[in-house]
Formats: sequence, C-alpha cells, structure tokens
Amino acid sequence: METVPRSGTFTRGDFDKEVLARMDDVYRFAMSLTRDTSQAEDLVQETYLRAFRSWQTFQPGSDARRWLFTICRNAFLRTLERDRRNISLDDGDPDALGAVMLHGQMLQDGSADRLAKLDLAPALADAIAKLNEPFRSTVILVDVEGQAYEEASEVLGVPIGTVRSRLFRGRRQLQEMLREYARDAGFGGNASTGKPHE
Amino acid sequence: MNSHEGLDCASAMARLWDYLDGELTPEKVAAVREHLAECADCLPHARFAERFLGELGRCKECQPPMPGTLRDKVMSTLRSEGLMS
Ligand SMILES: [Zn+2]
Repeated sequence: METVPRSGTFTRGDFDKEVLARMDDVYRFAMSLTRDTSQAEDLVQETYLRAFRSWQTFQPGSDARRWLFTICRNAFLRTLERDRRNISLDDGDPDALGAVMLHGQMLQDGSADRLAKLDLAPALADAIAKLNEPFRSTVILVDVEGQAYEEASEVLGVPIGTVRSRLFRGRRQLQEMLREYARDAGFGGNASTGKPHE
Repeated sequence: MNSHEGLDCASAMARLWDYLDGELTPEKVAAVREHLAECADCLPHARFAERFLGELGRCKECQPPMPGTLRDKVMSTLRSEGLMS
C-alpha cells in the first residue's frame, strides 16, 4: 500500500502520514463538538474510517486538517440526526462591539487590572469547556486551531457571516468568564483599583 | 469617544476582531491601525483583545490531551477494515 502512486509524487504512504499526524487536532475538535471523551473517541474513529475510505478525494497539497475537520463535523451531524438530539443552532446577532464594551466595564471595575497580572491559560481552558455549541466549535476552529473564517465556514457548513457572529459571541462569553475569574481571584480586593475610563 | 479623520472609535472598534483576525482588506487594516495609533481610548481595548487572542491561540496545550490508547484503536480499526496495511 505504501507505494501505490497517485497524481504526481503523492503516494498512499504520504496520505497515511499526513492524516494520521493530525489525530490530536481532530480529537480536540471532536471534543469541542461532543464534550464527552468517549463520544469524541468514537467520532475520531468514524472520521478516520471515512477519511481512509475516501482518501482519493483528498487533494494533495491542500490543508489536511480542514479536510479532516469537515469530515468530522459531517460525521458528528450524522450522529446527531441518528440520536435525534437537539442542539440549538440559533445564532442571534453579531456583536463585534460587545467585547470592547465589556472591556470598558472591566477597566472601570478593576477586573482588567487584575487580569493583566493573572495567567489566563487555566481560566481560558475552563471557560472554553463551559462554552455552549455552536460557539465552542467555532472558537476552537478559529482561535485555537487557527483556521480562517472562510475555512471554518467550509468545515461548519455555514456562511462566513454566521462564523463571525458565532465567533464574536463566543469570545464575548469567554471574556465574561474571564471577568468572573478576575473577580474571584480578587486579591482580596474590590473595585478600588479601577480607574475611571473615558 | 474620539473622532479622527479616518475612522471614528465605534467603526474602528466594530472592526477590531476582523482586524486582529487578519480578515480585513489592506485599506481597512491601514485605517484601523491609523486610528489605534492616534486614539488613547481604543488602544487599551485593542491591546487586551490581542492578549486574549494570543492566549486563546496557546490553548491547544491546555485542552485535554488525546487518550494515548486512541491512536492504536484507530489504527487497528483501519486495519480490520482493510483500509491500512
Ligand atoms: Zn478610538
């Protein structure tokens, strides 16, 4: 199987290597969709089965992660249909200014100052886990996996505008949670360090 | 809120995410950059947003790692289906 040639110099061996190397990324994405380790494992298995069955549809030189994420997302939607579980896909309005307004409030109540001194990584890991769908998968794709809006829109099968609005709302929710984290971290303090802004 | 010759604060901030995500045209990027260089109100928001995105981008490491056994499971499924040698 190693040496089955395909277009140009891309071989089946190259395919195996390329897609198998992406399993950690696919698992993270599967976790963002299912939020359950055993469901995520099943989803990764299903993704790889489908990927290997249709390996001829992979275009050499294209982004293997995007291809795998798309397969993963489709497989996930299939399970949803099968399980007849309902996930709200209601998106609401895009809210690009929301984050700025929130940060303005954080400057006023002192949480921005506290956040500046804190390690955000553990709080963010926690916050991502708490995000609801469809915001979580969008944030994972764009902000953690570094996919562009257009790539994420292909993977998720929604228009770019929907990706943006989900992303902005997801980020806003994350920042709300960071604000709480700053409050809890508190340094025994209240809002006294906050300088009025404007 | 300030109003500078190019963008006003609201329009600059409404484009902040797109700006930081690299999703704007070069002209719009220049307009936002110009506004941030001149506006002391907006700059702290942009700095915070930048740090926030930077930390999020490092969140790969803080996500739960893939179980060590999964890779073997996938490989053996692929083999049993005759999809891999
Ligand atoms: Zn401004």
